[in-house]
Amino acid sequence: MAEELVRMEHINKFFGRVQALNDVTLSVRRNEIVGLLGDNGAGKSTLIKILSGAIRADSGDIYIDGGKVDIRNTTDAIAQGIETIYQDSALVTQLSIARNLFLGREPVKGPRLLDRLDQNAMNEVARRLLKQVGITKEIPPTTPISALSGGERQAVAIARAMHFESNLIILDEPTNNLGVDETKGVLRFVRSARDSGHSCIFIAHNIYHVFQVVDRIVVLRRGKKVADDIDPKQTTIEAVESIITGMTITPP
Amino acid sequence: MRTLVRLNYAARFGLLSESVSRQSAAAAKGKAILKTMGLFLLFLGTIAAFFAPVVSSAADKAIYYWVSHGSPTDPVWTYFLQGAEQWGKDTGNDVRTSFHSGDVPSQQEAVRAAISAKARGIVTSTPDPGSLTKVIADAHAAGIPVIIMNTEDKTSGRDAYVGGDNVAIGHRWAQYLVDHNFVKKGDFVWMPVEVPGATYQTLETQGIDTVFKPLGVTYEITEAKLDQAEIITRMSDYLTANHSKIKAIIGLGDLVTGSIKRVFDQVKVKAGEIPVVGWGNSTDTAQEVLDGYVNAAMWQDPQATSYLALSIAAMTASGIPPGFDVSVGTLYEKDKAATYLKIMEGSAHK
Amino acid sequence: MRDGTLISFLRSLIARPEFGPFVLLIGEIVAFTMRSPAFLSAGNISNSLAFTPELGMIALGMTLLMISGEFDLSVGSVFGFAPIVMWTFYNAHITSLEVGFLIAMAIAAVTGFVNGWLVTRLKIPSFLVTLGMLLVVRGIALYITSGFPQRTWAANSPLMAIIVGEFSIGELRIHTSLLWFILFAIILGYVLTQSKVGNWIQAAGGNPEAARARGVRVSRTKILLFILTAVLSAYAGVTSSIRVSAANPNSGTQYELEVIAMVVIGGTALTGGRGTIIGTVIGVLILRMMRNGIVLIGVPGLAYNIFIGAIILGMMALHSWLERRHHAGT
Repeated sequence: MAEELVRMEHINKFFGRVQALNDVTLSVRRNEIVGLLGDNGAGKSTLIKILSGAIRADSGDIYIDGGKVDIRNTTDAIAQGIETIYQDSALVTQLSIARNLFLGREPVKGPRLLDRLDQNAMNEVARRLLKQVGITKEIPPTTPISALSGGERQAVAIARAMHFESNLIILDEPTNNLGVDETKGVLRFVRSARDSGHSCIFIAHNIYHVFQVVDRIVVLRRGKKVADDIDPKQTTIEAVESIITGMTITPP
Repeated sequence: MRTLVRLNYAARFGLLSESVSRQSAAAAKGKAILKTMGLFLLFLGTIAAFFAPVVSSAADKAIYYWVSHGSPTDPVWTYFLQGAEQWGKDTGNDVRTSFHSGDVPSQQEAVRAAISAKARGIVTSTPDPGSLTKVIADAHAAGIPVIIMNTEDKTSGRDAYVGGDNVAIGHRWAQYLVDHNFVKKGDFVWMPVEVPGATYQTLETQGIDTVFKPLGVTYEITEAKLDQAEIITRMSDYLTANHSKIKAIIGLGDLVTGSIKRVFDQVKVKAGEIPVVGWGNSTDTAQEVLDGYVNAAMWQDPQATSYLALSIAAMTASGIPPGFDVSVGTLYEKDKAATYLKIMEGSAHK
Repeated sequence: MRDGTLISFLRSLIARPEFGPFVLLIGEIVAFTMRSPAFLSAGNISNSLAFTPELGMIALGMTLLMISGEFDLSVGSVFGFAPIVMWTFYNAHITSLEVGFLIAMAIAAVTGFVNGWLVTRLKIPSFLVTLGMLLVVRGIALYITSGFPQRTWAANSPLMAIIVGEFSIGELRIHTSLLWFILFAIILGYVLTQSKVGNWIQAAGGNPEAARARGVRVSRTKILLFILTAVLSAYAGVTSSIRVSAANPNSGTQYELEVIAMVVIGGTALTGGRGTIIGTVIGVLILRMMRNGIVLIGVPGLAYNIFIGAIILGMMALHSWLERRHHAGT
């Protein structure tokens, strides 16, 4: 059994008087893709925002590699190796692929005073990474993001997460605005991310997408976890759907 | 391989839309860009043609530059401009005008442009004392005369000055009051002004002193500020408090003199009860003179100033040195006020 | 490849965002010269290049600031205030000219810091913060001088020659301020395109949330840019005061609008994230030559602003059209 990478324990979160999360415990192991499912308002986004540092939980603990951590903001989360891919990919559209990949961590060459970007190194690595995430087209790394399609942008975001040795990549509804081909591309990238040693949490509405990639499914309903350890290979979409919508029977 | 990477954005679009073949897409986009640029250059060419001289050459007409330190939105400067344009029409010369709203570098640049364009003469007004000295020297080095109008700078090296002499104007106001027996020894005169300490006020006061001091007439200068509403308030307050002792009023600026009617009405002083003289370059003041609130107002002859300055420039350029300055200023009373009112209202309706 | 490298080079040149403004600059020069050949005379070129560096330096700082997504409307006031400080100290015999200069630069840096702090810490839009600062600084300048200009022509210091000394190359009269402007342009161009900070500047303007999420110190970068812009404005103001022999508290009035127009005409987006130094330099030349040319050829004084406004609108339309074509492929 692979070791535990991330563990969120007894998480509670209130927004005013509405309880968004009620005593939720979630764990993710190394080299594992977890699918987090649930209907609107189930609390998936909230839970993940807590893990990525965008919001703070009202109570509960987070453990990484067995050690307790305090994630106060997004910088803390990144420092812990947790990267989040949002629907809009958090890319700067005017900048090139290479500049986006290395944003905030640009390699420099020459005397420190000159602060000179090592653009050759950046472009080399970018080219390699793009191949790694399965982009077979010849896209020069100096292309601005604005020239890329939605799926390609997601691919760049994932490549960035993979390159900087994040342990956990969170994908929050990444396929929402994508077409069929592009969705296939993203799912492919997610699989290759896991294969190269990263764990993922994959949040989606769309069960069909989730079934194609995840190792394990967790279901939230109205702020509570109602199912865990569901193996997609051993169940049906209909069964999972019924869990999401409200029957409390745990499938075999 | 290298050339592929160096394709421009248009070609990149062709590259990334997966359908069309690389080369034809790039060529099509390239053609489109060249076509666009061609249209653009055609457009520029049309503009250039518009700018091209229509007559044989500009060298036939003499070129004069009229460079004002004032603002194009200042109604008083509009009259000055009229005078310059009239002169151009009357003499057939090309008068090129510009306003610089107090921006000294911009004005110096304009005068230097005039020098580069080999102007026959330059007429300009001083923004700050000393700011024109160098450019005037440059103009003289190129053989171009420079006449200063409206705001004088004695040490700038200018060939002549045409404009008001504030000292003389102050003297004329004071003398008017004395000549008409409005003030005598021991009387008190109120002198409101927008900005006490400003050059125009200090010079006017110097002139007034030459008449009042020997006569033993006393006065007080009060601040009214530059906002119309505030001017009326401050002047009304002062008038209310000092009504009994004020024997005459000299408005040291255009705004204060133009406010006399409103102030008198507010304090219930009748027109003519207290004699008033001052500046008269606004329609308000001209109307006040007609209605009897102001006895005599000073018109700074803006059109004449420009006209004469340009004439003197032309004269100097022809080799006749001007050995004099021209002091302007017409003190108009009720009988002439209508003329000036018409001049001012006429330009408002142009 | 059937396309020669020359053609693809030309195509890449045309595709550059600075190409449009460049064509406009050439067109403008051609139009003015046709109307009056004196426009390209040595004397007029020298004349044009005298004032240009002063506004140009401010525009350089403003470019970086606008790329990062912020405005500075107080540059005109700082331009006027800095020389007032320097000359007041000097004329009152409190300090030497050099020390007065340093004090003026320091005050400008503090002004920039306050601007940046208010914008990044209190999250007030930079438009409003710098508008307030414009009034405060201008007010202080007017108050301490009571509206009267400071004398500047009694001074004689090597600093003056260093900042804006005059020398001749053949028939052209050049000021050292032009050399400083070129140097600043090269340095800031390098910073923007080749350095790490340059990447941060563009990211901060293009998508500040994304930049922050990647650990870029957006606030710190912006504060530095506000300081840079203020110091450049102050330096430009000192340059101007020495060159025109005038230190008027009203100097620099409305320069902020002209500078922003120059930057935007040169291709920097109002919304941030995009812009080049070369574009700004071209924009500076376009506007300055327009003003010089209009006076030279004799456009009626009152119609002046129509031309300036028309050219600005025309360039904006061109830019937005090019922008839409650029995004057409996405």
